[in-house]
Amino acid sequence: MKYSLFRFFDVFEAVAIYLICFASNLLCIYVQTLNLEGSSILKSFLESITDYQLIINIFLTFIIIVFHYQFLNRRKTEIFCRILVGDTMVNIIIRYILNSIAILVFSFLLSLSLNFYLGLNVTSNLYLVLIFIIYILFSACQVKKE
Amino acid sequence: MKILHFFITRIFLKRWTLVLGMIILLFLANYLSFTAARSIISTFQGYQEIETLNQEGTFIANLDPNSEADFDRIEIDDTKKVYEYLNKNYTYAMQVDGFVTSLYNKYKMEVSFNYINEEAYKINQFRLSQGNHLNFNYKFNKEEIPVLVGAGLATTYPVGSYIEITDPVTQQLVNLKVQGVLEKNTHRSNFYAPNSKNYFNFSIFLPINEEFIQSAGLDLLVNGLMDMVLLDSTKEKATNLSELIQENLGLKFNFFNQQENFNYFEDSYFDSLKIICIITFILLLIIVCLAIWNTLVSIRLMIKDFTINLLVGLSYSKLRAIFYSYFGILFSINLVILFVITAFNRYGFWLKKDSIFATYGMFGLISMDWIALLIVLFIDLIIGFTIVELTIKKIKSIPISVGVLK
Amino acid sequence: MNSIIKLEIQKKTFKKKGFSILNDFKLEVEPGERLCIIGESGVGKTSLLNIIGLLDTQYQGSYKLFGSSVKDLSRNKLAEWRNQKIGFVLQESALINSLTIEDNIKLPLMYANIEKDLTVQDHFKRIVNKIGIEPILKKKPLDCSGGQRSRAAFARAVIMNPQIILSDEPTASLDLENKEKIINLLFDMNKEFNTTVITVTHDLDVANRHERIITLERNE
Repeated sequence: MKYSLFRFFDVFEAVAIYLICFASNLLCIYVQTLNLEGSSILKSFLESITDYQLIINIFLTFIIIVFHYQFLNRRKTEIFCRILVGDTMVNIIIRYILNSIAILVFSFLLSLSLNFYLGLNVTSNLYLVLIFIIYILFSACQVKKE
Repeated sequence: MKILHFFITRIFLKRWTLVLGMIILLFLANYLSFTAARSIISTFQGYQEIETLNQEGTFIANLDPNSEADFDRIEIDDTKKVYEYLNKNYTYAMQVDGFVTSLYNKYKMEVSFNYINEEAYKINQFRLSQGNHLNFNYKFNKEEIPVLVGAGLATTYPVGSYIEITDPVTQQLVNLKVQGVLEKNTHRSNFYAPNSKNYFNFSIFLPINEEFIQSAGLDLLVNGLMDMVLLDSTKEKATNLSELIQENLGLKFNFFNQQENFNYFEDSYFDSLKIICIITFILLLIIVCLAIWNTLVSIRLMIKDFTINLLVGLSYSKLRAIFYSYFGILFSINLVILFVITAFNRYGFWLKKDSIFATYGMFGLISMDWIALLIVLFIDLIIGFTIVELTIKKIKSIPISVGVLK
Repeated sequence: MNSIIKLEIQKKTFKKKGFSILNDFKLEVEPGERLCIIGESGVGKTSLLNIIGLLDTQYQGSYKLFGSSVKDLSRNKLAEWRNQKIGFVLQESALINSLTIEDNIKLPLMYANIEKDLTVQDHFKRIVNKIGIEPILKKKPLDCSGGQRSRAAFARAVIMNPQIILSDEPTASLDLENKEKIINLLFDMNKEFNTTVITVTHDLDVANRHERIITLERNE
């Protein structure tokens, strides 16, 4: 943990945001499997959300960009300190990517419990994982020292 | 104004990722509240329309969902028997729409015929923008039929003009005389889905009387039974009719009275509306929590900028005003986006030539859209107040000396 | 005597800002020397310190540190040397706010992978005692005073017994008492371990206590 830029609270924040994104995607898929023939009002309301499922989910994933952005901004001094005492930028970036992916995988595995609970395919959230990996790689370019 | 401009361009937009994140979250909150508000308003509008029918002695027909209907085996003579019985023994309201036909008009929209009998016409009390109301005592096949046209057809077919067309129900060439023009956005809600509406801007209202029914085809007669309303009737008479229909047509119809309809609405629609409210509330709460998190994160990164300004003379009350103005701008951006999307959706029906949903309205929006936007504005005020007050509280909790050093 | 630092810079260019500094600059430093760099703001004092401290390798010229050409060293080797041979004391302390003072000081030990070494533990205690920061070891930097933070940053700089200490305005934001403490600690290290001390300062009082002073001037 001491090598990592992530503290417990950062991990908690990231996991919470990942879970919100995964859960929103799963719930969108789940409501589409429900038989709402008897309730046209509820059905049309939910359709007005699920019709835009992809856009809504991608919008929500933007919060992860915000997370990485603020995180790296707050860690600029720390990155500088680490370089001062013997770390390298490349190592910091590699560790950042690995830690971020580990948090993502942990959150994904945690979200699988919701998949099983709702009886949904385990691959439902994979596209979000791919988007998040792209975000992580993109944000890795923003690792800078003060 | 100068200070606000300075804060927005030099402090907030310097970290545009956070601003964009906030706009996205607020947009999701707005879209969600707008959708929920519109669903609820539309349902209540529909319910109010149905309530005019829902009176003592009124029975609304409903094809039993468990009825095994075989429409191919229904004979026209059997259907006519049912209508003869109906005409002799009952007062009933009947309105059937959805008979689409091609008729030249300025907007190149498909035109739908709406067949309505006198009782249904009296109950609905449609408002006209021009001309006179329908009369039902014309002689079918001998004289022209007086009709009402939707607002979208009024320029092509003004009051007093004639339309010669093959009637889709009787398949006979009929001569229609435009007697009046319906008000813009005249509509009818579905009895059993009050949130869904058919707009009559491109409809022709054709009055039906007993003579017309005798000449009508199977489609009109069977469809007429689907939403038929018995007036001044009793449960016993409704049951008799139900049995007769079952015997002749093999269709099981239920006729629900006022109390049954009210209970149905209570059980079904109120529950649905409650669920919609709960879902909206929970999702809004999550989105607002994310928005608050986004704001706290912004404070963490911008605290030095804020405290330096406080150090050189900015007061907390001015800072509060700056935040309210900033969020005001963000909400306005979102409301404009929401407005554009809604207007485009409404305009989309015109582009798709979807005559049943094409509506007229200020900037393309109809009344329920404006009311929903107002509700969204109210919810935005609550969200804005919550976020700004929390932000100011957080900034106040950080001593200026500490903030400047960060 | 062999110089441990042999630096010849043709120029250091800032492409974005469109100017260059340290044109035709040469510097040789002997082991154990106390060197002070002075000059007006913007002449390149901190940039020079960054180059000497292996934080910046983007310049035209050559630099030999401990007899090796810096440009031939890999990034990892540069990091290893920053960890083991060079200590930094900076004006703004540059401590990690989310770690305790103890963890901040031990950070270089962690990178050298000797954190758990018993002799290192003793060394850590000795340094902490000498600098007088035991009471704040468990505190976070933001809970400490400016003087305490400076001393903590100093402890981190010397924990690895570096051969060179680079200090950039080490006393700029300190009161007289803390300023004396930091300067004395620097020179004690110099005396005790023959550590080379290179200081950048505006404070002539501090500058005069060094063996050699070089003045950087703006390029025409």
